[in-house]
Amino acid sequence: MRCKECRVDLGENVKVCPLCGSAATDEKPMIENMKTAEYPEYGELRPLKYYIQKNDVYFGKWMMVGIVALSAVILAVSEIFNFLDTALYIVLPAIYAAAAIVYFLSSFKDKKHSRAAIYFIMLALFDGVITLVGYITTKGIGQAYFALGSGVVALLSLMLLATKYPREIDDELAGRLHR
Amino acid sequence: MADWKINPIKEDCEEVSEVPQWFPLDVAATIYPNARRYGWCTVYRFAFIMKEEVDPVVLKQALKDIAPRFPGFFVNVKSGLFWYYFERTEDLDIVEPEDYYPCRYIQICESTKPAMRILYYKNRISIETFHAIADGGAALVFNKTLVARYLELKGVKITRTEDIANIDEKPKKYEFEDSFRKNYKKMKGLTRKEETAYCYKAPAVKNYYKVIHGLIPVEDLKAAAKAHSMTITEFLMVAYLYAFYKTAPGKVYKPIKISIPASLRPRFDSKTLRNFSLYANIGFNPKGRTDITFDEIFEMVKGKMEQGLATEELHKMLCINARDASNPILRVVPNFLKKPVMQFIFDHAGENKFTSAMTNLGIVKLPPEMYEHVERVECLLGSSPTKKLLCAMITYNSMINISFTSDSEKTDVQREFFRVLSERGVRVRIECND
Repeated sequence: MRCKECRVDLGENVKVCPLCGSAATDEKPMIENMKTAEYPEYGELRPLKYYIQKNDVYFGKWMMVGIVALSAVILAVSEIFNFLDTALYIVLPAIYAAAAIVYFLSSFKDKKHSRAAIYFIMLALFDGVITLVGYITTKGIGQAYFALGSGVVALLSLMLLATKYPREIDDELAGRLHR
Repeated sequence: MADWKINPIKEDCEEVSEVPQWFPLDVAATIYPNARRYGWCTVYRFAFIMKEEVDPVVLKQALKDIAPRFPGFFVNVKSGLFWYYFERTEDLDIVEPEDYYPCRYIQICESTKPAMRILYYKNRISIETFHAIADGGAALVFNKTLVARYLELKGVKITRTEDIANIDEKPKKYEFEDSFRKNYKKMKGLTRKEETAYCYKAPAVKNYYKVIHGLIPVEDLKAAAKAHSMTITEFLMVAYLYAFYKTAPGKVYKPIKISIPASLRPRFDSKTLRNFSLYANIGFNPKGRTDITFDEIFEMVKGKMEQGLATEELHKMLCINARDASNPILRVVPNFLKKPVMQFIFDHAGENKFTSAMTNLGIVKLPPEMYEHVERVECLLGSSPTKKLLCAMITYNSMINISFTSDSEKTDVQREFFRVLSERGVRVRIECND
């Protein structure tokens, strides 16, 4: 088949030229011995969600999002109800220490145990900031003992995990921190 | 982009004893996960049309057999705190029947599968890859090796040539190399400044992707190009520019520019199986004129391609990309803040500098026995949020396969392009997926 308008060969059973839409004419093609490479009939247009599958994502990401959100809420509420110091130096470090323990325990169960590594660092970082704030405001470690302790818990958890899975933790941190 | 060889092994080719579970993206790859949007990421396809119907069981086995040789391909992109990175995956369940439009979205970040898929339909084996994994030159090595292994399993004895990878060998260290960083040199006065290009507009159809293949004998193109004193690439580029110019709805005051990618491997002696290509945007500004001829366009762009694709120019661009990717400020900005910035850069410092892309993958060479079993090779570029028409070409067995892809039903530019060729005595066979 050929298209007279576009002067091109078309496939064997083509009725309409895909370029201009005019009817194909039954003529000998200029290029011989060619066979159409067929595409499937696509049928209905499918929405994208058809192809997007939720695979198991390590829960740690969502837990961390929750911890950050919870911290923000606690700080906001404590400001209003005037217990900012308690929230900052006791409640938040306690949450972070508990989170570190949950990450640590769950990391032995989860196949992707090494993923907890980055969250230990984040928790230690949060605790570090609180300790630093405490240190600056009281000109000494003062009321930041809880935060310091919580940071130590997070780092200790990381160290223990790294002892058990040294290679995986190293790879994890290399990937996460783009080393 | 020229085809390149993998097997001539360098003497310093240290084998990789253990591939890390995580590794960073190369410089060129960093933009792709950042630029992705819901339902879109940069995907391209290579397809091998076999002479016989494809056997999916054998295809799956072939994939399994070659997987240890190409660990860099079986990865998905994950979001780190500061950057995206690759995570290796053992899941090889990516062979599936083709039942939808080409180059559809590949799920990254939340998927446990590699950021690629292998499709089969009748005689066609299609391999679709997320661009962050590798560029066309590297993917072609993977794809040729997959098809070679498939044929081997079907009982065809394949001579080991330098065109395919030896799957009995271990991966080589240089195949993982980020050649952008390796060839980076500090330079002064580097800038990305470039004039915004004419934008070709066409109404997009949701969940749709049109492919128009033009199959052309190389001899015809050679003769037509020679008649205009051009090379084949120049001839096709001018025809493409002319097609945009002729189909523009009114007077054009912005430059019509085509992005021409070039493989950097032969220029910088690299054998990496990751991204290592750059592009030059070549075009002309009609400045409102409506009477420019085909030959006049050639006169206007003459020399620009040579200049744009000169090694020094590409090296400058390589250095800009490597410099920006290593920017210490960018490195410490968290990923969620960086993503919108990178997306803006992608749209406004890259995508709007050209009207369309035309990539030439060069000549596909296969071991002699494979020619009897492979009828045709195709290459398709996946959609882009801003580019309504893209073009890729590949030469196999003395035929050039020019494939236009678009998420619109509009075919004015493609029609004009092929008419320009047929008016100059080039025989063209058109095939379409619709």
